[in-house]
Amino acid sequence: MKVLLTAAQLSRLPVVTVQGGEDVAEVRDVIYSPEAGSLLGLTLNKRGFFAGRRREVLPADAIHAIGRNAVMIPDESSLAEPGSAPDAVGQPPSGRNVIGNDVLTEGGVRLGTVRDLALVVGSRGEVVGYQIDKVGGGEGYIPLPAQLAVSGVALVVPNATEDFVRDDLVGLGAAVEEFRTQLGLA
Amino acid sequence: MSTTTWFILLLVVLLLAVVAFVLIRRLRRRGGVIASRDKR
Repeated sequence: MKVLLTAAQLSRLPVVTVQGGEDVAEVRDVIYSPEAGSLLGLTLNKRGFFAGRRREVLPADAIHAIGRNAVMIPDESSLAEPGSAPDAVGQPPSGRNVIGNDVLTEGGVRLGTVRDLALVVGSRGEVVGYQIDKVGGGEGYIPLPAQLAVSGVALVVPNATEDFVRDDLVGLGAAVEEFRTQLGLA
Repeated sequence: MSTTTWFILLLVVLLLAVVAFVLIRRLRRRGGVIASRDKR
C-alpha cells in the first residue's frame, strides 16, 4: 500500500523488525536523491528518551516497508555500518539540509522557503515534491523534479514551477504528472 | 540569607540545569532532510 507522507512525519517513526517485532531505532535524518527523486536511506536515533544517535544507518534497499506508523525492516542485521552502506547514507553530506532553503526560480523569483519533503512510501520511497511556506503566506507544494540545483541554502527551480504550486498534497499528486509531462520527462 | 533560602536556590538551579540538559538532548535528536550530491 502506498502512503503519502512528509519527511517530518517520517522522522521519529520507530524502526521495527518484521521477524522479531523489536523496536530497534527511530528515524533521524531522511536522505534523498534530488535528481532521481528517490529515498536513499535513513539515519537513526537509539530508542529511549535520553538516547543519542545510533551509529548504524538504514539504506533504502534494506527497508521492508514504510507505513504511517513505523518503518519495517526484515531484522536488525538490515542496519548497516556507515562504512558498508552507500556513501550518500553512510557519510551524509554536511550542509545539505534542505529545510529552510529559499526556493528561487531561475528567473530570480522567490517562491518561499522549504518546510518539508513530500514522499510516497510503501515498499520503497519516492520523493514527489517539496512543501513550502509561500512568500505571500500559507503553505504550498511544488512537484519534483522541480529543482535545477540544491545547495543547502537555496533550491533553484524552473520558471514553470510557479504555475505548479499546489495548496495541498492531493493537488500535488496530479501536478507531478502534469509537470513531468511539461518538462518532457514523462 | 538563611540556609533554607540557599537550599531552595540550589534546588532551582539544579532543576534548571536538568531542564536545559533534557532540552538540549531532545533538540540534538531532531533530524533533517538531506539532499545527496548526485553525480551528473
